[in-house]
Amino acid sequence: MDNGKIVVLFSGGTDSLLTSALMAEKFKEVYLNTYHRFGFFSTANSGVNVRKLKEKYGGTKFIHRIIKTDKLTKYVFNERYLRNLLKYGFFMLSNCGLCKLAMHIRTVIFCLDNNIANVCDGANRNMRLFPDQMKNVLKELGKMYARFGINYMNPVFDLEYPEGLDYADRLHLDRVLPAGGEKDSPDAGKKKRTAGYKLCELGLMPSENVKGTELDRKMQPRCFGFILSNIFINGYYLHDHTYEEYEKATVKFQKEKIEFFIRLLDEYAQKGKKSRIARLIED
Amino acid sequence: MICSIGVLLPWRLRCIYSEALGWVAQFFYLNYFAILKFIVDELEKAKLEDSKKTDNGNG
Repeated sequence: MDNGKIVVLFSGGTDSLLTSALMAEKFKEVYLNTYHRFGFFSTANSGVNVRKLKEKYGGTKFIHRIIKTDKLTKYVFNERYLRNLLKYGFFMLSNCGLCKLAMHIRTVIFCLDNNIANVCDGANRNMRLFPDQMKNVLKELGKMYARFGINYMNPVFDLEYPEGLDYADRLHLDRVLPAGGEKDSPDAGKKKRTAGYKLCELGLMPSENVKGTELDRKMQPRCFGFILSNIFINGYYLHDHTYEEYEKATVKFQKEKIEFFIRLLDEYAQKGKKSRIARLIED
Repeated sequence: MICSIGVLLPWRLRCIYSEALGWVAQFFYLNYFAILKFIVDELEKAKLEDSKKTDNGNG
């Protein structure tokens, strides 16, 4: 089924943009799938960077689509709700993980419908509180894709996170702090391993560090879905538990969800439009 | 309490609830940032004036 085509889960942010640029060098056709659901705002922002990609790599290489996933996301959240609530408690608030799982399920269906054997996204190890960016959850997602003959990759997973995103950097506290203290010298090698640096090198971004800036906000959708899980994780769970415990519980929850949806996808692969999950697909 | 409400709400209402909480958090964040920035700017001004006075005193 490898026919020079690949799907990128494309939000328009720096990680998925760099992923798309890297894939453009390896594949003939790159499908940039941006997913939209209730609670996402300015999804059309993702188009800003599609234009840049087309200018650099040619207009015919990229096919950008905004795909609705309202029904599917709602189902991913709600299936066996009471049972899951009793078993996993506040992990049910893990909006980002479940929303991204819906996107992956929709991507499998997209690949099956269009005979595409490669998928990648901009998952990065530095976003470790998000279930969809945890190495062990990615492994489970990889198994789900592999079951349908699809190769799932995370080409920017090991890249570094840019520095200069915390309060001290944004306020330029060095203006008033006494000089001479032990200050970490910026690691030049580390800086060169960020998505921003590589995009700047490719001529796709005006500066090396755009994460968290006005430009960053204008090139991708906005969603506050993470707030509830952040309150639960940072305000409650991590006070009494280690990160490893959090990761273990999250992986267990996500794994069970993925296994449930593999069964539904199996049915889709056999029955197509007559399967149960087909009713949740919006065009 | 905030999480308990969230977990009991149906999906669509939970999205709206998250959005509202997001804007509340944004409000506090921006205020906090603006106040800190004001304090740091004032500290910088005071530091500059202080160094000017010291320079004049020495000169």
